[in-house]
Amino acid sequence: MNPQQMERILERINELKALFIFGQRVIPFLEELFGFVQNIVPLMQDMNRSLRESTTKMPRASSQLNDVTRATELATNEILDILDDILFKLGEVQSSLNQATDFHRKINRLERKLDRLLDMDPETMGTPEWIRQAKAVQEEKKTLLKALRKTFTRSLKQINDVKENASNIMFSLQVQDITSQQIAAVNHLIESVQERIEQLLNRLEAPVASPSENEPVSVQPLPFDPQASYTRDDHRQQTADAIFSRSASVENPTFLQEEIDQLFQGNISPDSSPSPASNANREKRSSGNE
Amino acid sequence: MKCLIVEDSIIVRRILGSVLKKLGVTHILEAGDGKTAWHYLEREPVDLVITDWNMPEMDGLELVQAIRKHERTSHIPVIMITIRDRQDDVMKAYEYQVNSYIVKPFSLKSLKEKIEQVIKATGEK
Repeated sequence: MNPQQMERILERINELKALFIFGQRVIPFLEELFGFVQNIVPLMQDMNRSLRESTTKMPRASSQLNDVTRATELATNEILDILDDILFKLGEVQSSLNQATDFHRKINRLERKLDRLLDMDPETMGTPEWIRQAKAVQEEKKTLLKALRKTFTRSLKQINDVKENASNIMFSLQVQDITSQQIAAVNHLIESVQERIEQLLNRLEAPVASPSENEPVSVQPLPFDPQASYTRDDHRQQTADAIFSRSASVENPTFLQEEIDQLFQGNISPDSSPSPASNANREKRSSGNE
Repeated sequence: MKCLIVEDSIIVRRILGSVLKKLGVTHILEAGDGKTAWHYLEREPVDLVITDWNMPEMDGLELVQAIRKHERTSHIPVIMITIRDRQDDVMKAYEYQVNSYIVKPFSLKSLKEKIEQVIKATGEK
């Protein structure tokens, strides 16, 4: 081996040494990298879960907000229809009152005519012509009084209808109660999404300043029914009535599930009486034979 | 006749109060939740309770449970007025001995009918 070859071998050894030194330096970094990947995977999974949750909750919130729009639209239409009817009826009352004023004026004129007939000299009074005129005045007055009474009766009925309509407006305002529950349901969804995102950001060590840190917001959570809806479907009330009356009408108030399901599906009429078969089943249940 | 309205919505409380006045109920008490209502019931006798279901503090069903549990109040007729129209809810109310059940939104006619029925039934007892 000549000195040149020796020198090359030494060079190679030095290169290998440098490689080992580099490897020693790189291994902790690689370990750190593996650790980071191990830590990030659950975080990514959590992010994925959060995003999935948010994407399912958001359409629900959106649908509930649509319900609010539908409910307010329905109630507003109801109120507008009632107001139309009120305005129409008040118009009729107004024209009836104008008509009544006209009748009253005519009656006054007839009374003055009758007074004039009564003020005539005794020779004219009692003549066939005088009697005919007096009778005609009386007859006309009677007809006008009858028409006047009819106008008042009609107006009173219309005023009563207006009163009832005003009550109905009050009842349409129940929409506020229903939409407040729908909005409370949306708030609940948004809050749960916000909570999830905050948790995620905290894990990412990037906490967001909550609005409460800057401006205190006190939101009282409202109790709500997520399925609250504003509808004029009488079947809901009839079905509830049917359950109460059927349960009360039998000795054993236990309902047959099949019967209740049919009621809610609208397969049987809410006001129909319980079937003999179901009564027999109930008896079986109460005697413990089932 | 003394009637207690238990409802967290001020608007529904006003509607109920107005109908009760028309029906000749002169003494009306109002509570915004079950807990306040129960305080009233502990203090003074009431002839009829009209209650909502979803309420803060103590809900309508819990209130009915308390009413039926105590001897002094167990006889008081209760009308439940609620948005809940699912069959298990209606059945639950019946099981808790609610006297009448009204689904929101209610009409003047159905409300009048139910109140009159309950008042009549109470008078007959």
